[in-house]
Amino acid sequence: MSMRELNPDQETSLVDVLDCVLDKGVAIKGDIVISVAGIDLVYLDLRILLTSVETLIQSREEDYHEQSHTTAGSR
Amino acid sequence: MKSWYVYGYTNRKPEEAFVYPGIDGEPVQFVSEGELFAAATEVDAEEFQPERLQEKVEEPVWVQEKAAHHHQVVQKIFENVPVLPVSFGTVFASKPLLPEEKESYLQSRLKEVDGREEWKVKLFLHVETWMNHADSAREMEESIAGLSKGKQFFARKKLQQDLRARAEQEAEERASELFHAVASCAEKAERKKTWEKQVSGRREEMAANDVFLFYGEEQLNEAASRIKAFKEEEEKLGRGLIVEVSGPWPPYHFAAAETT
Repeated sequence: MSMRELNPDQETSLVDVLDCVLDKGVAIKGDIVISVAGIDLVYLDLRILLTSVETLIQSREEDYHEQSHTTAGSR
Repeated sequence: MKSWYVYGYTNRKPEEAFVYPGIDGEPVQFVSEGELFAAATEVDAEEFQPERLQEKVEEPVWVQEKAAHHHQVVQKIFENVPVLPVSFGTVFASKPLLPEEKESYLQSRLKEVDGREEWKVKLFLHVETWMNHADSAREMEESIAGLSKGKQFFARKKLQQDLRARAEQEAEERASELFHAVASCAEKAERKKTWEKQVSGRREEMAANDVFLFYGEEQLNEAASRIKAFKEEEEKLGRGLIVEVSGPWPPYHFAAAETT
């Protein structure tokens, strides 16, 4: 039995990626680093981030649908 | 003017050519003056000065896209050589070389993760399924059968609350059993805060958000058998507890540290 068999489709969710990349990893501190982006991601922020991304995508899709609808209608 | 955006540190350069574009399109390089290599890419100094970067990180779409890319680069490095992932948005004004004390600190952290894999195990609970599955649900339903209609309404409401609380507690106990079973064959283990539905995007409640660090096939196989046994048992019972495994991840959680 291997762990990989328990994860056959190897899908990586965006939430997992954001959780790892924004919240974890080694933080290099000190004068040598000129700028560390101040995204102190607590879960509330993560949720806001995801929600606003979703909203943006949705509104873009709506725009797209509206546009394609308009185009279809004008034909 | 160029600055450097850093993905992670490693103690070896990948043997095969590592051709991967960085955050700004320039290739990812392995920069070193000694035994520690920074996986980094050159970026426009203007674009990545603190104020500009701060503006960018307040733009969700930018963060989503670049964070996903950051992960892809780290993942690629991880598939080739041991890596200490650096958190998103770390920029150096010059070559990302570190002073000696930081370098030796990162070297020792690298040894701790060399050859290890991080895996996530999540549990999701469909509470209603668990509630209805319980024998107590039927017993309690029978216990209120003799009450008047008005009393039944309130009794049933109370009953639902009790059943829900009990379901959550029982599932939590099962989650804890699984965590300890897997943790005992892992090198490191951590129970993370569970996500709300809005974050997980699931209709079920998250009942566990565990992360493990494994070293070698023996640990991995033992953990896999234990998770599989748990999964099969729950599937047989069909009471709404779902197991999800993801990995192998670069050691994001177990490399998390600050260089002070």
